[in-house]
Amino acid sequence: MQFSRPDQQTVVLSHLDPLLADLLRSVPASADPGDSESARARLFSAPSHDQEEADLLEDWQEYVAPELAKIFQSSIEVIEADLRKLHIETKDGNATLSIGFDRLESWVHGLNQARLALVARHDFTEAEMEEFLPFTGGKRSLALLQVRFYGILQELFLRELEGN
Amino acid sequence: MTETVIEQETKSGTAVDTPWNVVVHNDPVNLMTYVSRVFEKVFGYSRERAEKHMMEVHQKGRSIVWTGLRERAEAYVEQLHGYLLLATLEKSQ
Repeated sequence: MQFSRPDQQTVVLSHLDPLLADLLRSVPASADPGDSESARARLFSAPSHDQEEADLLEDWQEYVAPELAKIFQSSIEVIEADLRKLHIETKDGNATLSIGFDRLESWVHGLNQARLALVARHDFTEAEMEEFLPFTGGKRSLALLQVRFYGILQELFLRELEGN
Repeated sequence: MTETVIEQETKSGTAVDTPWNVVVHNDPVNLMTYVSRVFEKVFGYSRERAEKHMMEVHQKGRSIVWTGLRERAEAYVEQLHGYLLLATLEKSQ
């Protein structure tokens, strides 16, 4: 994979092999907690640990959580729209993706959401995330690869946003 | 020790409300650079101050990032949840 900034308004991910292109396409699905209780609990965490704050927790679920869901969804919609423009090179099957600079915030957010949901869903330990484990196939190994790849993209995009 | 801003506002002209802390808890998934950036955006903190809080979260497991009135504390927690940070509010001691 190559990362470039051809102009002030665009960042480009190119030479994405089919596996990386697939991982990119999986961002929206991975960010969706679906029927995973642990992923949902992580994305919609409690605003207080105090048992006496039952009213707050109830109100939070009723009024705040739906607003948060809209915020999360808006980032995913940006990513989905960009992914529809993923260009596959006919000569080598590798893919290229151009992303508008003004859409990077949404990407950073959506990638973060996907990483959090994946880690919660697969219950990865900190040690697993830090240790370099080769891709061995299987859902768990693939999910760990996704977490790492999305983290690398997040770092790249954050660096651009910070102007470094 | 990390510096926190304590905002005091008067209620009904005279009474001062109980201060509430906005606490951010450690999460091994959120990237350090991401957490610092969120503190800068939500609280308007300088890069240095945002990184100080981020390091406190990372090393001590939590950081009190803001203290003030309950209503504003709730609004900050909501904003932080919008960025998917683990944030809670608690009564200031």
